[in-house]
Amino acid sequence: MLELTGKLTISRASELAASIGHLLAEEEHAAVLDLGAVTAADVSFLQILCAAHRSARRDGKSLSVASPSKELLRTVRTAGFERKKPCKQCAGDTCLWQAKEGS
Amino acid sequence: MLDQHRDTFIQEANELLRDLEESLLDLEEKATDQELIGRIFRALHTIKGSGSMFGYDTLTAFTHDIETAYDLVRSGKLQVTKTLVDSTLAACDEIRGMLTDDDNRSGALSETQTEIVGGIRELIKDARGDQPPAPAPAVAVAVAEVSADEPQHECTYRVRLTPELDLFANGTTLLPLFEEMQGLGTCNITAHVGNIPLLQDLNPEACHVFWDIAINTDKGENAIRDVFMFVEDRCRLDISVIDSMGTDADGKDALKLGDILVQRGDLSTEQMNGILSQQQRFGELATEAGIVDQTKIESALQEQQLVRLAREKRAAAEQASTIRVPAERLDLLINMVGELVTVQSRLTQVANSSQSHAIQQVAEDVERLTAELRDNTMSIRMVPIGSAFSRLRRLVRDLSKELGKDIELVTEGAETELDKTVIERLNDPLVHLIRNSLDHGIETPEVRTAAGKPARGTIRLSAFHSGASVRVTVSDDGKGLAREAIRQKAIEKGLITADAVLSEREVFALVLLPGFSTAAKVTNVSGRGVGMDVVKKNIDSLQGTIEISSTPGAGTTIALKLPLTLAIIDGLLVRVANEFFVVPLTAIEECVELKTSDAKRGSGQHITVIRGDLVPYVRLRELFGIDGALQGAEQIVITQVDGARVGIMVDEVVGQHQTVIKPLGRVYKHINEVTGCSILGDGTIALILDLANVVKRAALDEAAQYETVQAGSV
Repeated sequence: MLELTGKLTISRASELAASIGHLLAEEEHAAVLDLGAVTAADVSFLQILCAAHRSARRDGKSLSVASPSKELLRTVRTAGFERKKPCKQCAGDTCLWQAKEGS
Repeated sequence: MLDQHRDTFIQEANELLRDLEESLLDLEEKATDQELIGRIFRALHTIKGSGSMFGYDTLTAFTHDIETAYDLVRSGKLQVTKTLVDSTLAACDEIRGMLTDDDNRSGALSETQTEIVGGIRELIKDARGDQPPAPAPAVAVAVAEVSADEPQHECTYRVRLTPELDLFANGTTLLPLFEEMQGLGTCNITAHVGNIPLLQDLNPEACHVFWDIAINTDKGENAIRDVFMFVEDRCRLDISVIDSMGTDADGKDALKLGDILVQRGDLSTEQMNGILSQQQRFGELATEAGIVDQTKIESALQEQQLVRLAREKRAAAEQASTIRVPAERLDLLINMVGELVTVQSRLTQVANSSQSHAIQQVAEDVERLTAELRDNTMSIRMVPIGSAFSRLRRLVRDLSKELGKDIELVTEGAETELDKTVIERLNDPLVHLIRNSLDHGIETPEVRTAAGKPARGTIRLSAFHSGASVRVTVSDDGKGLAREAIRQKAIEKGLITADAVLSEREVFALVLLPGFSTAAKVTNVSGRGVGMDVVKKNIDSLQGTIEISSTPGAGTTIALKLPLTLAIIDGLLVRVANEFFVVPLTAIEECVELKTSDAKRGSGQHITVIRGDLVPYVRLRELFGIDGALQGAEQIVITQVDGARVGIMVDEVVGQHQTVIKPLGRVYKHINEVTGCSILGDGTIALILDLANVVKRAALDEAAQYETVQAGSV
């Protein structure tokens, strides 16, 4: 499990991408990101999340988000990432953005 | 001068209160409907604000806390409960009272009012978690409440934002821009994530996402462009209008999903048609076929939804756009139109008898225009009956609660239109009828379930046009009318003789007689025997008819037949010697001919046989004492009067005649048999008959004759 805190914005994009990449490489089956302490996020981070989720799927692993913070959820909504049906890549599985709806 | 505006304020405030009540009743069913809550809040706010402007200080203070409560409901901090709705409805009654109390505008709150405020304050306190409600100054709230009511030129736009890969390079962040968009109006933002590569291939500092935004706003396209002003050189921004004032560019209805995709270039027309030729839902198919990805479909669907919602809102707003006109002005207009119609028919007569073709042409044109003008003016006074229906909802709710019964009011045909005056005068009778159903008709839940009926009783109010009249029915699924009990009561009260033979319809019609009531108990609501005959009087004065039918155990139905308007009468023009009369069309069933020879054979008894039934008739000749030779056959117009069939005998039935009713004047007011007159094309006056009274008079005359004969023979 990897905990990401504070502001997850473009200035840290490369660093965040690398961290999550490491996480996926280390975990055999289920990778979890704890995002409870995220105070801000932007589109670049959501992009990274999406890319990571897809990579995990391709490698037969799962990537999920635990306790997304309120600010993160707000960003997901404002940026139009929230969706009702899974995206093409995730059809049949839990799409990262669809899961967010329930929480 | 302020007084004149104050009248307008009071009028508008009363309207607001009516709307408010309705919204509250709706809110009970849909406790989380944001639209309703917003409407309620705005209504309270307006009443409070305007009230303070006209010096209604008590009103303002009273409304303040209620407004606060609904503000909390709006922000989700306070739940809508039955207690809240009850208190608010009670508050509406108080406010209504305050509006009429001119002298006491700044007085203290009454006990009831203080109680209501106290209750509301409790709810507010609980919602706020023991923080005392801040006495928010009314002014501050007014400033914050900027939400405009229906905007003027609302438009729905489709915005596609396709950023370049290096959008983030200079630190641009899009989130504040999206929030700005939401400030412009209702919008739907969909992010297309299809192009995001796998993590190892991802350049985290590049932007791989593009967006579709459907926005409904009245701020115009430039406002949208302004939002993206600073990123426009690193994005492609496509804005197109997809819905403006109800139709799209081609004037067609809301675009279908496929059209939207084609318009966006995400789909070619051939592909769309190919998919349409199959049966499944378009979106599913497009995804399955792999032509369009889910994101694009979802985004298009949301756009469709947005447009649809905007359209509905707009339609509702358009209906509400009205102009106020004093009723007297309208009456004056109608009167003048009536005169015009009369003169015009004289013109036609004169033109037809003249040799000039040119004049006849013009007369024809005038006739056509006059008919249009009359139809138009008549329709101005037409108001949907729904307004009367909605007032009754509250009555049913409150009364059923009081009586401990579970009753639902179902309405049909609320859009049926009636003359404004008719609707106003219909209100009291309807209230009476519904009260009867509530009190005597529908049983308590226990009795109902024991009888195998659903515990919840239903009262059905329906209205529909039928020929030249409007039918309004009030029916319930209660215990029905007790035929025997009614008969017995009528015999007791000497209304009928013990051996009188009456049809079912006639028995039920007995309850309409004055002083009649079979209720064993006189309740607060009804039972004093005052209700039904007053209802009948009201309906009579509307020139309508009332008919009662019932099945014991199953329910009762009261059917009202009313003319569309009081100003104009649709009637049958009849002639007796040189006198003309008009028989209201609503009452007429048929016309038959009676040869004078047959009449003589009737040996003085004015009865004829129609398809096996005995039908008495009245000879207008005798009634009005008209002299003049008979010309052979006479006609009988068979009408329905008070539930019974009666014939009106005349020399000739001239034809159908629609005309403006003119009152006879004070001198003739006491003549009950005639309700007014109509001026024919050649200036002759035709008297409009009040059938119920004509029949009564004929009966009295006959009785008097009989007595004279009796007296004479002794």
